[in-house]
Amino acid sequence: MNKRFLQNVLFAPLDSSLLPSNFHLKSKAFLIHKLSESTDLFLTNSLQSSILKLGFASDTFTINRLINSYVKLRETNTARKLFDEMPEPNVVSWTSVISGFNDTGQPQTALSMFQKMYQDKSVAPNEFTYASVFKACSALAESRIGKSIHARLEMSGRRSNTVVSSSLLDMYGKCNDVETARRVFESMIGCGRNVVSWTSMITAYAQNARGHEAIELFRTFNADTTSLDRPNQFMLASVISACSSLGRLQWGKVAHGVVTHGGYETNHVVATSLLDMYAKCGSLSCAEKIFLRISRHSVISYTSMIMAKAKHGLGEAALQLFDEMVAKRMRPNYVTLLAVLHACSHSGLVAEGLGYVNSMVEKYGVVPDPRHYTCVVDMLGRFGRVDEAYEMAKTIEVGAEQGALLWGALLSAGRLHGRVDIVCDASKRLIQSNQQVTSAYVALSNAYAVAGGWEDSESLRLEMRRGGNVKERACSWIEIKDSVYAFHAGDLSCDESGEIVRFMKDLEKRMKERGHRGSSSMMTSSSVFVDVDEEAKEEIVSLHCERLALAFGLIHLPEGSTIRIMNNLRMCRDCHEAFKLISGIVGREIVVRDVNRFHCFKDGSCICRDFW
Amino acid sequence: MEFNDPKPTEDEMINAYVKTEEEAKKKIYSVSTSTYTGFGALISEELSCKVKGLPGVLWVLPDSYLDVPNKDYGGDLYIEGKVIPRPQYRFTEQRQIRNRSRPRYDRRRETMQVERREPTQQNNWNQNQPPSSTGHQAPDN
Repeated sequence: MNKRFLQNVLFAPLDSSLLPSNFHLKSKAFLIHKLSESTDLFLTNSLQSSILKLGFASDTFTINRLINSYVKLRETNTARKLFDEMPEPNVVSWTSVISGFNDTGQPQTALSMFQKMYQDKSVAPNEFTYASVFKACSALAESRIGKSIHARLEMSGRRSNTVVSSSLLDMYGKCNDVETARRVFESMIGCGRNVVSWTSMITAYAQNARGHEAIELFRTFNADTTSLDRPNQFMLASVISACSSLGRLQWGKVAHGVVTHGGYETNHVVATSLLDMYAKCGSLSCAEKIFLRISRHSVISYTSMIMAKAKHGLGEAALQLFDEMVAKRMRPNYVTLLAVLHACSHSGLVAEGLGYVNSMVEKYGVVPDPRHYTCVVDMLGRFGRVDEAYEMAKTIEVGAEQGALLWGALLSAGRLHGRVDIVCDASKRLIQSNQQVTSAYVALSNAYAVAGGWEDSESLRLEMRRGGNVKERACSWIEIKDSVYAFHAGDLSCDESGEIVRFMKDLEKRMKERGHRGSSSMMTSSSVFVDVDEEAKEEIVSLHCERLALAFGLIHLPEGSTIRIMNNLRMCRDCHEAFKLISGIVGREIVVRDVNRFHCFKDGSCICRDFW
Repeated sequence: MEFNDPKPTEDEMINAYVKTEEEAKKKIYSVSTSTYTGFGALISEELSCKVKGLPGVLWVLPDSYLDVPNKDYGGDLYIEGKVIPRPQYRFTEQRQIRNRSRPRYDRRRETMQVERREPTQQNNWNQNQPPSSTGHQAPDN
């Protein structure tokens, strides 16, 4: 920005002989026009000095424009100073500054400004002020303050306005109060609902783990032929993320169809959520396709892809992507590092994992938090270094919820390697903090059983039942066309149970022909910890829910298509072995999502290389 | 069973494909080359799996399940071999950066990241916040 430029831009017209006689107004209008176009701090500074020199320093309208210009340039301190010097700030001035603080990540300051405004009483907030304030509350997830401001809003009578109501709705959604958000949404019928309002409501459902309602609302929105509104990229992104959390691939694909029809395929927000959806629903190849078609990558798209590969056991590929991302000068955030650690954990890259967690701060400026350490504990435990995991876990300060994950991971590790001492300690800690109590009791009971103490085990189970702790039922589900079919272990109450059982028996015969020894082998009988005889054990194991789901899928899905099954627990060894064989026998790809990761069975082997 | 078939292929290829099968002509219900390059057809699930593997096919996506009436979302109508063009809504990124006469505050940068507390979901990462409010400035001349 040089002097010549300034001459040409700012001062030439003022010297021009073409100026009409109302010189004063013309130059004010000119300054304001220049301000609105300014994207440069230097230019805005120069314009500010012009404003002062020409005598507009106390003109509210002009100063408002100046404040706005600084806010756009994120110079909130300067904007604030200007505001403080104003003799007569109006509602626009207040709103500009409040929004400015909002946009620069200072919602707390925005709220305190609003408080001042309210106490000042000279200027009443308008719809846009309220909208900004609710946005600040959303950012802070502050429902208490939000509610009191909502009360003021109702009293001011400005509630029936689409913009305000949408941001109010959004605030309740972000504060996890979905019921109230819905009430606000319903009440908006009077003032009209636009795509932003619908999107806010859909997002509120999607982000509060109520994906079904989000999709239902999307359906309703589409079905309204009187409205001219079409889904925009933000609504689509929310809908797709609802599908992700539900694990509904078919619905996700339909949403993808809507995306394509609307021409949003190239939009970054939509593309990243599609990537995430395909990854979470077990379709890694589709996720990769989307990733490769993204033209301008960001931390988010890379992180999603890294996490997807991590959860599918492609650790080295995930780490390669991470290196690529860093080479492109994108700064990883805490989720990226979490994805990297997952990659190491699920693929047995222990040394690399430890390296990352120890160098995270210096290299990437990310401080490891309990989630990262939980991942490392899990990794060490899985790889047999249980003592190290135990030592690490003891040094970490955690709250109850995060502690549940941490000690849950240690519990699994202890069970896997028969470390009764660690299992006992972890279980006791979980029970004490009242987290995952059921699985803790089960683990403790099983540990006693392994050690041969059947009486201890049984008395513990009695205590569980007395305390009302019911073991979470193993459940598998499979999506076929438009519906989801859920199966519980040993549950043959559905109509097609006869066909399923026949199919499974036939499969078992073919498996035995290939040398599968069923559950009578030494290794697998330890999976069942109740004191029954071998034959009964075989019955119990063969009715595992994932097998039922698999049989159902093989019967109902077209030839050659991939079978996708979701599990709520970790896949057991027997089923893992069986699935490997079955994939070879029927020549189909089987994808199983268990509580930790994905298993992909193809031609007799699993992508996890038997390490999960 | 209805499926939609966006492909990055030439119009001619689609026509060539259609011409070979009189049946196929009846099954195809929409075509588009502007917003996306593809067609919609009523086919069975088995056939859709086979189409996935064909060269030049990018995606095969289901068109139903969302109960959209009249399947009225994009694409030109294709009836009995004739293409009936319909007004297409085109979303282009440029539209978002309109030259506004009044200054606005919303900075809809697509990579805006917001810390969000999500108690029940585990692997979540920063979601983009939908635009819930914008600060308008009314000219108060």
